[in-house]
Amino acid sequence: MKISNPLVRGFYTGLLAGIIGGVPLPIFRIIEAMIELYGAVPHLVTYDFLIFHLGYAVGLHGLLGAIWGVIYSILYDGIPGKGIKKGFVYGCIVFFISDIYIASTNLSLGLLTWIEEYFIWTSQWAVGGAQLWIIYGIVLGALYKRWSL
Amino acid sequence: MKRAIVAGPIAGFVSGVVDLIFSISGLFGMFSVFPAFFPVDTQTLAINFITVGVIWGSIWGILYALFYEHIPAKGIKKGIVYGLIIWLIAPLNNWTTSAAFGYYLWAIPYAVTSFFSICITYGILIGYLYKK
Repeated sequence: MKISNPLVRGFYTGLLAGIIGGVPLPIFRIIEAMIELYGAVPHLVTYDFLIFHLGYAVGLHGLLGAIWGVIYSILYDGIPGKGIKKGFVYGCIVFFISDIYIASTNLSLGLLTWIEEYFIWTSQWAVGGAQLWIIYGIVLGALYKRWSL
Repeated sequence: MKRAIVAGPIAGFVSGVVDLIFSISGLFGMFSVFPAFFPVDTQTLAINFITVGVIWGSIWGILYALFYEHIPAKGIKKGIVYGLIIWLIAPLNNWTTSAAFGYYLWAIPYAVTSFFSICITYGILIGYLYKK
């Protein structure tokens, strides 16, 4: 498949990359619960939760992925690397600006109030998004180049 | 790059102040939001918003300088476009996830307040303060 308009290409490749990145998310939740990672929620990891989580992960990350795919196409020439490497770098940037930003706001509130939930959310955001957005970036980088004319 | 290192924290500081004003004033009623799920006093909120604003304002400022040539438009408009990009990446994940898990009453005002503080305030200031 070839798409000439870079914004449209960014949208579709981002959508697909977001969905692919979102699919393994429930598996990561199970692994986190099994290794008793700080911030994991083993009591919530039920069949219903995982089904809901899969729907949330695929739906929401498909949407976010599509929006961020358009941004990828705008900033494309400024991102270091080529092909998959470029996508990987972009995935790391997105993870840093998005999930680490949210984790840091929770960490800041946690350090100021010493309420444990903020530290739990810090851990969830810092760990939870890493695998997702790195997979997203790699798939985006590969597809975006493949679908260009 | 030096100008970005100066411009970023200034824009981030003002952005943090705007966040604080929105959060504690009840401005526009529906936009009012306490950014925490637990009650936090105003002083703590102020320290939190301003610290986070200055730190992330600096980081976004450096990224602005790095991607400057690739962001569409010129001057303040370029800053607003960049502010929109940051708003679409940084807080979007948080409030959409919160909404998906049922915290609509927190997510919607957070989206609106962060739009004003990041996209509008930070974007205008970084566009005004940093030019190549």
